[in-house]
Amino acid sequence: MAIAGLLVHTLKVDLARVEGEIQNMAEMTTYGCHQDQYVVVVAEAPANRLEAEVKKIKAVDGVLTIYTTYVTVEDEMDESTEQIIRG
Amino acid sequence: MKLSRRDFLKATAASSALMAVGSPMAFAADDKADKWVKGVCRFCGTGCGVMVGIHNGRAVQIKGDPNNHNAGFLCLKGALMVPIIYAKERVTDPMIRKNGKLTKVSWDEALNYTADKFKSVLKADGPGAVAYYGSGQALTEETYLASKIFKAGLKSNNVEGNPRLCMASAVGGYVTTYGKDEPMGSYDDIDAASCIFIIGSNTSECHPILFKRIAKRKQADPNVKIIVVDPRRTNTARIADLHVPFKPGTDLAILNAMAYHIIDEELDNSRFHGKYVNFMTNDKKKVDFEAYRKFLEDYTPEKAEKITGVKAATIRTMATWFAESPATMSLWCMGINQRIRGVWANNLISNLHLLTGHIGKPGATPFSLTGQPNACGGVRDTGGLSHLLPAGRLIKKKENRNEMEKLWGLPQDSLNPKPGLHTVALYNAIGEGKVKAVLMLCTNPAQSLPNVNKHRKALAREDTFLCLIEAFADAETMKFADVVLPPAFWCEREGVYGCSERRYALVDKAIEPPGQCRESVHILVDLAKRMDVDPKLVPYKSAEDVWNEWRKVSRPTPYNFYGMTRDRLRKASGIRWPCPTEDHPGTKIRYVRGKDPNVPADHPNKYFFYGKPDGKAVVWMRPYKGAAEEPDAAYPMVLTTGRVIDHWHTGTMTMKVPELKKSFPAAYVEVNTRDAKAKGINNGDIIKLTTRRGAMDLPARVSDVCLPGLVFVPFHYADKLINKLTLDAFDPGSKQPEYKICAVKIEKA
Repeated sequence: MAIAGLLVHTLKVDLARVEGEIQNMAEMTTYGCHQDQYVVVVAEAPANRLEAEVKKIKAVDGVLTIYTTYVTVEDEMDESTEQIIRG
Repeated sequence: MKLSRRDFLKATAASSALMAVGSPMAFAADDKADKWVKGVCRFCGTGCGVMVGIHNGRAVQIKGDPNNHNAGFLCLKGALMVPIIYAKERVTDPMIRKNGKLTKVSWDEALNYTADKFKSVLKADGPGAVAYYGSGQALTEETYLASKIFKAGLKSNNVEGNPRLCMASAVGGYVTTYGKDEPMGSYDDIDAASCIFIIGSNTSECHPILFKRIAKRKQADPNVKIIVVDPRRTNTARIADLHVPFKPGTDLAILNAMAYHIIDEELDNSRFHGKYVNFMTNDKKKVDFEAYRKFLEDYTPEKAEKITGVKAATIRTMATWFAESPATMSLWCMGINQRIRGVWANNLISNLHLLTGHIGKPGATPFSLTGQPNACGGVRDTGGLSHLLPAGRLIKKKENRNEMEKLWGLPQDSLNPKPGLHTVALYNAIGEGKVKAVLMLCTNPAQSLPNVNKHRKALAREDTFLCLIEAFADAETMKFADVVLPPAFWCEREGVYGCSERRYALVDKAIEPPGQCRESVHILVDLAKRMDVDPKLVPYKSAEDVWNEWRKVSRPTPYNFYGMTRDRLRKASGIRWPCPTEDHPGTKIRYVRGKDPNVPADHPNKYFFYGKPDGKAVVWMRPYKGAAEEPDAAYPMVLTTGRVIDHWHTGTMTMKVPELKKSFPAAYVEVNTRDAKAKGINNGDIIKLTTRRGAMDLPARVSDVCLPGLVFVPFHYADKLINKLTLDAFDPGSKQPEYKICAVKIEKA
């Protein structure tokens, strides 16, 4: 499971509605609205679905853009990664 | 509060986003990563600070550096570096092509084989037959070192790199207008600008973190005007007060028409340009303001409308906003630089600033954006191009060569006085069998060169020896390699990146490289010695040794960053040059007394363009000139290429991240709704694109993003090498190719 910290940049007039729509998405947890234009969100999804989940936010009316501040795939490191590390 | 590991990771993720907006998050403050190591993002020229989280000796997390200019923000690409580091395609052993197949060998065998090849070519054909082709992604130390090895050690000035393809016209623009390269402003200007003029840049997709800053500025003050001049209605245009689409290739006429209106309406700042500006004709004759005003009569907004397709009233509005704003900042990128007259276009943007005095004040500056993380610091500044020596010195100037000979401990007049081959000329020379041995570092020209089929044939010649220092086995250029040397990648070694705002920042070593990978500095030193380069020229034990020499080399020049010791760079999240002493904080604004350490504190004038003999910048009289290959009856449309937000350059990194690959899995052609309707094209139909250089089938994306008559294709996809269709005509000044415009016809396949 990947975890990503996201900052969703919205039009000021749409901030509350955008936050509400994100709250209804199963893979997203919101951490409040900030500076009248940002919603802080944590996305939690398998790495191969993360982008698709983030795209759902992009599709919300009033969203200008999304910034990623953090991604971890710590528990998805697999055997192929081990092989690369060993060379 | 007791947190599970999962809860902790979620809290850390939220914390990073909250820090980015300046809100603390108490319960995440207890950061339990083994170690966080400071670095710089590996992608675009924005140069965002990152922190690499290490767990059990492996990189597992990436977050934005809250202390760097990006204030903790990253775009998705930057945040997803981890899968790239551990990609299965990593090259982890030296290889030599044997019987047509790259075969694992020892370091000794690979290096000796390469050195022998170079020595044999040097002996038979001289230094003009060898070359280095580098990258705006290599570390500063790597490019400085490679350039020194070839120019000082092998006496070959055939030192080039992919920055020739992306920002050479910006260099030419700055040097001809101000006498010195690199922007005079910084990202801080975005926060103070009241008008932001964006031309030839899709900032939202190519520099997302700067777009964030622009959007934030706009939202903070609704009176801020944003103008976007672009033939495509990109995401950047979403926040624009005025989006101005125009006929591709006519930007020179638009910029001259804006200058005309500014003067005609007396919106110019005559006190500024009367004191700090020379007016010059295209053939470098100094003229007076009246002659310049007369020159502009060919570019009234009405005349420009006929050339550009932009309404005269719109040109007037743009020019008025630009001039009347308290502080105007211009931003541009490849749409201006990748043009047959890219230098002129750069000059004309600066003209607007010099006419209005929107320069050298917070929020008022021309500012070119860069495509790669170290094109500025690594290649432009260290002199990693065929006509340059370090820190703005020129090969053709004897006094510059003599100065470098002294600094490098060489006999006087021993450097080769003849500039080397620029990129297109270099690949032409390879095709003609004149350049026979090439060392490449961290670049993928078999995909990124324009008119690439022609140059792939050159790389495929039997008598061309090609040694790549390359991290990824699936890079297109690997198909042509005779030897491959595996480098440590990104945070597997330490070194400096220098971004668009003259900010140098250290990428610290966070993890060990895999397999037999070695730091490129060590590879270069080892190879140089085996090529019989004088060991005194390459006495380095580490990248830090190279950096310390480079600091000294910069010291006698206006680039002077002698004060940026390694220790300072380890602590700070970047410092902007000039930075002459260890207690100097770095420079936000150049050419201004009290702001730039190169302007004496007692200088009689506030502004001093010290790159020019009389301290004055130049307003150039550059006439309109169209594209090298205009549409015609046979090829009636224009093809342009560029990036999408989730991929970068030739895709050797971003295509390895499943999330990014899924986002834009395949190449496509963007077609205007009107053109699609006229040709019966629907979304998803396969379209055949044909130019004078080749043809390609691509699925259509029908929308109103492109102007009618224009199609756009991203250049990230190895299976659809759109550069097979692009043109390698180049700007006669900067030698930068015109990727942005060529004639094309489209039809349903």
